[in-house]
Amino acid sequence: MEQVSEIIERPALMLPRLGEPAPQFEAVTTHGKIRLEDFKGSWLILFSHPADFTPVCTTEFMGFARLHPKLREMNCELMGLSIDSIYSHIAWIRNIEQNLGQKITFPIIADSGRQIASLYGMIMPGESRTETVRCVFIIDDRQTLRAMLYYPLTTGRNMDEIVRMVEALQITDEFGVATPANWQPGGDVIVPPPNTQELAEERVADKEVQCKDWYFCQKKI
Amino acid sequence: MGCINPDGTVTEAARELLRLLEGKPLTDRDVAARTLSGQPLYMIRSRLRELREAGLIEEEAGRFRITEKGRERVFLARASL
Repeated sequence: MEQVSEIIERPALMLPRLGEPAPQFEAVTTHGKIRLEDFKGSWLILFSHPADFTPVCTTEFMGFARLHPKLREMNCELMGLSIDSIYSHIAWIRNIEQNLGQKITFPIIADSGRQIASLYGMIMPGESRTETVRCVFIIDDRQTLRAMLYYPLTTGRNMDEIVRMVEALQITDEFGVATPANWQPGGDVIVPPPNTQELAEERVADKEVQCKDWYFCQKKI
Repeated sequence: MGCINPDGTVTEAARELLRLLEGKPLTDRDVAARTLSGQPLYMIRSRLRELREAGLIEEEAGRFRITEKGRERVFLARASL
């Protein structure tokens, strides 16, 4: 069992917080110098990968690239990051296009100095001290951090889940609702529970929603 | 995909932006809506910033316009064709 002294001595890992402004940065990318603020007005999936020229990352990059047109239709951009150099990134995406036939259309940050990886808590020393783990940060059109997903080095991400998350958050913003477990686009959504007795009585009498009980009502949108 | 090549000339993408800004001043969204190359808004913002830092365009109240130095670059690019 871990000793208390070891826990106290472990350096604190800085993580950004949901619902707060996403930490701003300027980055060298495969598309030139980009600032996070350049994405204002559109959603952004900022994701990290452990290293270029590795097989799991290659499958993920091909998956992200295939999703890019759909994400653009959802007003959502993509940007990758690892602590490799810009030349490594360029060589890798050219390799993917030439050998695997998939053009990588989104920018990739070369975070050789680990500034952005540190800012976003992308390095988990228990997994690796020299690579970023598989992080996903969903940042909304007002630059608020809305969701974070962390995957270990060994496990490639589920692209459908990432898209589902963006769709769910956009539905939440547009209609002021929540989404239930395993929600899929087109499925019923959760109406926020009433917070007064009067509203609870109104809610159960509301023909527009289907209630299992006063606090648990769903509707179609 | 930056705007300025190592030899000081401007890239094709940057020339497109400079040509658009030869007319009346435009916002970043105006520029994005007018580009034929379909550059996304975040790239337009990045490139406008680079062009501004190079003195080829200037910004006033969120609208961008080409400078004399920018016009010279466009002229030189046309002359070299």
